Amino acid sequence: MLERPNPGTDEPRGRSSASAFVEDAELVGRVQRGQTEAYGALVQRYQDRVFNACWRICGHLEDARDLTQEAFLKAFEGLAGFRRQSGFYTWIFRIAVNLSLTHRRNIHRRRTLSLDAGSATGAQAEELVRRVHGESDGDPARTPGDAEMHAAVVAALQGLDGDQRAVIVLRDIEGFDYQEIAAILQVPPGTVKSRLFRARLALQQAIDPALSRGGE
Amino acid sequence: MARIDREQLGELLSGYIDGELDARERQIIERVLREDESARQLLADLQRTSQAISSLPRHAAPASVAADIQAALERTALLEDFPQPQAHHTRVRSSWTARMAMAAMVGLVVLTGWWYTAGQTRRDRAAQLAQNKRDARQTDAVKERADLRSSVEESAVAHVSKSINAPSGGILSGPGRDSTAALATVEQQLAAGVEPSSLRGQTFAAEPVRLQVAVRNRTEREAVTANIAAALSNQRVTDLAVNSGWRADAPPSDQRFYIRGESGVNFKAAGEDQILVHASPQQIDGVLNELSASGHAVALVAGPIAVQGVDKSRSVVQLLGEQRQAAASPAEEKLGRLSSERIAALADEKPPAPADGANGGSLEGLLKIIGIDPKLVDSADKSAATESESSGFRRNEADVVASADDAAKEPTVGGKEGERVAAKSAAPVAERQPPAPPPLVDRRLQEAVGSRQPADKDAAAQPAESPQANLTVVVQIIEQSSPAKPRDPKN
Repeated sequence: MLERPNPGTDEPRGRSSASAFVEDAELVGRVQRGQTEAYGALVQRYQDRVFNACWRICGHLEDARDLTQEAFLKAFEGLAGFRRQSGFYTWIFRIAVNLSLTHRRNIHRRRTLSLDAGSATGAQAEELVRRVHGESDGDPARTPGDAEMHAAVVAALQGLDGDQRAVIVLRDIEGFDYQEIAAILQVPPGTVKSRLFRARLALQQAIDPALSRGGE
Repeated sequence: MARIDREQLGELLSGYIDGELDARERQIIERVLREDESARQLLADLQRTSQAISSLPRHAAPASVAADIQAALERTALLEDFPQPQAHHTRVRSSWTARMAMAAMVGLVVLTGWWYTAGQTRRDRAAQLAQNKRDARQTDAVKERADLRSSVEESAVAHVSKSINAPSGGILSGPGRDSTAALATVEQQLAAGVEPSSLRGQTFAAEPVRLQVAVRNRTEREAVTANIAAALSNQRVTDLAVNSGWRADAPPSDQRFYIRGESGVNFKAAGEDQILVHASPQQIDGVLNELSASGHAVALVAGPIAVQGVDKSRSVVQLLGEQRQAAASPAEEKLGRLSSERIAALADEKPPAPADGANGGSLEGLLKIIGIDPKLVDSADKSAATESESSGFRRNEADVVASADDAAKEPTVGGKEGERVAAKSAAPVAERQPPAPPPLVDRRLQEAVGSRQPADKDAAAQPAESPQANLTVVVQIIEQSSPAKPRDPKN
């Protein structure tokens, strides 16, 4: 049975703490020594973040689930060669982002309607998905205006090219800093900076009407 | 201060929002913001955009993710010495029509028996055996050992043949006699100085076989899982499993079966969309009986899950759809056996055969479903199958494939796929080219039931080179969401 992490150790978005880094390294070491059950703790620790990143990049919940699994399985397969020069979370996000981008490129032609892909009905679809999953987004004050804005944001996000979407997701949704994003995407920090600005500018132009209405 | 263009300004503002500027850059941008209204406006726009993105709701990963990862990892560990259906995997991923076709197929159950050891071809083994026999001539003691070795191996082969032909439909049933394990045990005992003659007639432990089920979605996965759990909880099954090393004392929830299902047509990796049960032959029997009794259509296919399996599966789907409707009739009892008979009748265009013994008929019926002449199995125990028998199988296979043309009209099967199937069914078998693996059903069965030599050229070319010549029996659990209109078996 995969090991579960200690309750209450849910990692915040953004940079992993030094202690989390050490714990990750320890868990990775255990897995590399054959204690594969330790991998469960790594999965539990990062599955939500990886899932959300995959979801926002690929634009489809069910695919995000598959991609999350695939990312963790790929990471496990490569763990023997993992030299711990970077954090496990950097590595798993690198795998997940690459898988999501590749997946999106491969499927864009076949998906004509998606329950949660960016579209005019995106927010309603999100709400429907939440109901189906019995989940709440934790925002009790959520209003139809919020829903409209979220729909516009999701649609705009899906309109970005893959590289820009990845950098936005990693920064504004997952809260990684530029160095971490550069490590995940394996690009120079300057590239992260420029992609991020262009992505935000494109998003701002796309969602400006919704933002304006939301501010009224 | 050097002038900065709008692009640089935007990047600095973006970095300013994120707190990623160094002290000098921050001084620069704050000065610009004090002096430039458009910069302030741009900063506000970027901030609002960033906040809008950050405010998007988040979802926790589905609870099944971790469990599925665990299942996949354990499954990988179990299958590391197990030939993977790579060709099938590739086809399904690369072809949308293939995905659609696969979507029509609800489940695959793989029952892997044993044959000769992995990593050593039959040719190698035969050579080794011959060498052993030559060596044995040198001294009486060595000769005695070689004879014993041959005896054990032959008895293992005979056992497999007998199991397959068992009237109870027991598939590789009995307290397994894996020849490799038996030989290893014999070698160990001989090395330890045990008198060879004392080993004759002993029973040797076998490795458990594996049952693998593929499901199309979570609902099906849960249904099949429940059935498997029920089967594994059957006292009869677990008791019989003692000799296989199965944890007879463990509750069903602790038995090792592995599940991974995908939803809808997202059949991205057929090799992964499977339930794998590490089970004894007896448990496999139990599982099959349970699945059949609970209304799952069960078909037996010999050979690996492979590309040609798509064609077969589609035709079987069609047949089983009819079967399923028939089986759903409240007037029909003894669901599984009746289903098999009905399917057999449909497959062969003959009236259903009368039911045989209490447990009988299932294997034969299932063989008929996929166009395998049961006589081929029966005769294989006596000698290598003849060319005419092989042709007979192929004719049946072609019939089954041809019937897939009708299935191609189903919405789940794309036009190209239907054309491909039609073309394939029209083409001579010998002309079918890779990447589709050659039809292995007849060859595998012939090998499994003791044919010492493959009956056709394909078979002659393949198994000797194969690093793993395990007997593989595929059992498909097929459930059609939109069953075809039932056909009257009397017609």
